[in-house]
Amino acid sequence: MSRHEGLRRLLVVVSGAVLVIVAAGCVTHPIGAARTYDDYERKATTTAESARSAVATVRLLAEAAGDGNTFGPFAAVVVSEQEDALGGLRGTFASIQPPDDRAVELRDELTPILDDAFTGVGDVRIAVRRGDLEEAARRGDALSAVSAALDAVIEAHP
Amino acid sequence: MTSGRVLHAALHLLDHQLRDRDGRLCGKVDDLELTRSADTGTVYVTAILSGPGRLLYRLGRRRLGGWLQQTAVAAEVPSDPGEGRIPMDQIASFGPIVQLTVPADQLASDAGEHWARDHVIAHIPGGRHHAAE
Amino acid sequence: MKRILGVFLGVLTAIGGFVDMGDLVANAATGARFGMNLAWVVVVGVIGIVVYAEMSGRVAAICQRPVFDLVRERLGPRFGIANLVASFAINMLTLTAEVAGVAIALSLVSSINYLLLVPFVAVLVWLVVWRMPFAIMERVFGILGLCLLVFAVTVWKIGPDWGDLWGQATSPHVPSQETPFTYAYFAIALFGAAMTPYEVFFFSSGAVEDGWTTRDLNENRANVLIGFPLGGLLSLAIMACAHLVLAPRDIGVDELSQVALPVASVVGKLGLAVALIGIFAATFGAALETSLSAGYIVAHYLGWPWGKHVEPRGAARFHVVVMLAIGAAMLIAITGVDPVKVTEYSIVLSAAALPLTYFPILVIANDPTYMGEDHVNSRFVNAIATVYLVILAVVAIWTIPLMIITKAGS
Repeated sequence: MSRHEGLRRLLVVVSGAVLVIVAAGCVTHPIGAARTYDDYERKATTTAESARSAVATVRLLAEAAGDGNTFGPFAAVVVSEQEDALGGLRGTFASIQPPDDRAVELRDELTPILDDAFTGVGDVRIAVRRGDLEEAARRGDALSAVSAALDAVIEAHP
Repeated sequence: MTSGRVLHAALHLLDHQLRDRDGRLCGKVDDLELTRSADTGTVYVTAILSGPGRLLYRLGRRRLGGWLQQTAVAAEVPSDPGEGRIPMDQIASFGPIVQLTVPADQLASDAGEHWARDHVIAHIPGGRHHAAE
Repeated sequence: MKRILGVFLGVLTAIGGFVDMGDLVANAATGARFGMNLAWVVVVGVIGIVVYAEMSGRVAAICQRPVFDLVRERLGPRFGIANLVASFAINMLTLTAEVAGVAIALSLVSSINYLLLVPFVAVLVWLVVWRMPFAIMERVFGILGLCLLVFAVTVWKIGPDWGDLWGQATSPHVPSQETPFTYAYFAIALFGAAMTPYEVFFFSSGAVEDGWTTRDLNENRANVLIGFPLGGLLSLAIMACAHLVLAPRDIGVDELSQVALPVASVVGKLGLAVALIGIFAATFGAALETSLSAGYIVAHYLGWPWGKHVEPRGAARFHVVVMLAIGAAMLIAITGVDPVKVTEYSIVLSAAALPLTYFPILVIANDPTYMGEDHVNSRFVNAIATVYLVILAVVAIWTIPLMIITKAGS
């Protein structure tokens, strides 16, 4: 009987732990504090990678929209989703306290790129929502500079 | 020795599906009522127990099981004097499915079904239609 | 002739019904990150579901009772309740993911925020469960799900280096930017997506709803042996699309819309429309299957009348459970939890609970009291099934640790 009790308790603990993990995971990404430069750098790289994915998604979409390969609502939703994601990334990254001067430097390097990404994606969104797909494609093309800048950050901080 | 074997066979009944006179599913064999005969000492199964709380009671959650049983029965007894007790003479046959000779309406195990039907499903339009073609 | 048509429709339904939110997300996400290096997992998962779904369909056809109706009497109430609680919880997570998926699919054609669409979707799912005849419900969404074939068309139109795809699939390796842990984690996600428990709950209960008997054993075999592997090919096509279009651009899949993006970019507007219909049908069909499964497993444990083959009044508690499940899924989805994350957790936790689902099927399919001597598992089936049970156990043990090590695959 006591063995049973133990087993049951273990089960309860495990399922409780799983629940907590799931709950924590489903609510947006809580990036904790960075204690060391390495820690900060890793977070910066992860942020840059996510931003690169968002920008690339919007570029691909803008290209497809320019070629007449999408329809309005779809394009609008895709761009808005990525714009939201970028806004979130930017806000979260900005709120991480840099642990030292090198980290501040890295912050000064990445923040403007994230700003550009956010604004650039916003430009595409405006064009898409207006139904001006050629303009959207042009704005999408213009994002290539941001992509390159993000690539550079990711390569410099592997 | 014989009584042991009889009992074993009876325990085999536990958790089997109940089906009423008209072929409706109406709960499972949640527990058994055992009675020891005074003169021979043989243990007999005298009834099948099925209904709200019965399974919890059997699994050792006595207080919760007893409470559930009372509330459910108090709330919505159809016309079941036995409160979830199905005496052996109401059983037509044994097997993976236990066939009863009474309609489900008279069983405590159907109390929840009544409640759900009268308080929820009856208020939604279309509950009477037959969905299968 | 009518019989052949029935089997044919059944197979089409099985193909279209195979893919759900979990498969869409897992396959696209792995394609974008790992190329075809995890394709083998889909194959392993499909063989697993084929073996076990065949068993559960056979049990249902012979006993006219679904497998999970037999779990309590065969394996006892304690095992039964553990199984029920775990299955119900995971099924809720899956249902939430599917409901959100339907809402997103609709938002992609209407540009209305998907959160506003969630209640509408919940009502729609419930209405279909409440009113639509079972066979029609099953067929309509299964066959509409065939629209996902457009992913295969996309791959074909890209005209990839087939040798390279084949090479990745047959001699897989961990890509340089990934760790063995993330590789294993995604493998588990794919496996869980292919073998999601509700598939067998629904398949065996559906066989009873359709009134299968011993005469339908061939239809059972055709459905699983032809339908599921072709469904698995659809999964692989989705994976290949992500690999060929998204991966070169360093796009990771965080949104359902990204799954459809390759189709838009390669095939165009019409292709995109077809893909979105396919995604809608796949998620809607799965939402129906999971909400019904919630009712099925509870009713089976407690011996209630159940199913759509009786009128709702005759299965009142069953319908109440289904309604509550849909309502709960709606409430969870509407809090704004990330639907893609919910999907990932639902498939990964499914993987952790797979032994609970599949072990009883194997036991019952081998029990002559239910199956008769003629229809118990053959030695061949038992050999494969036993190997799978070992795999399932290993997967179950590793799931939670991997989830923690990889921070859920990030």
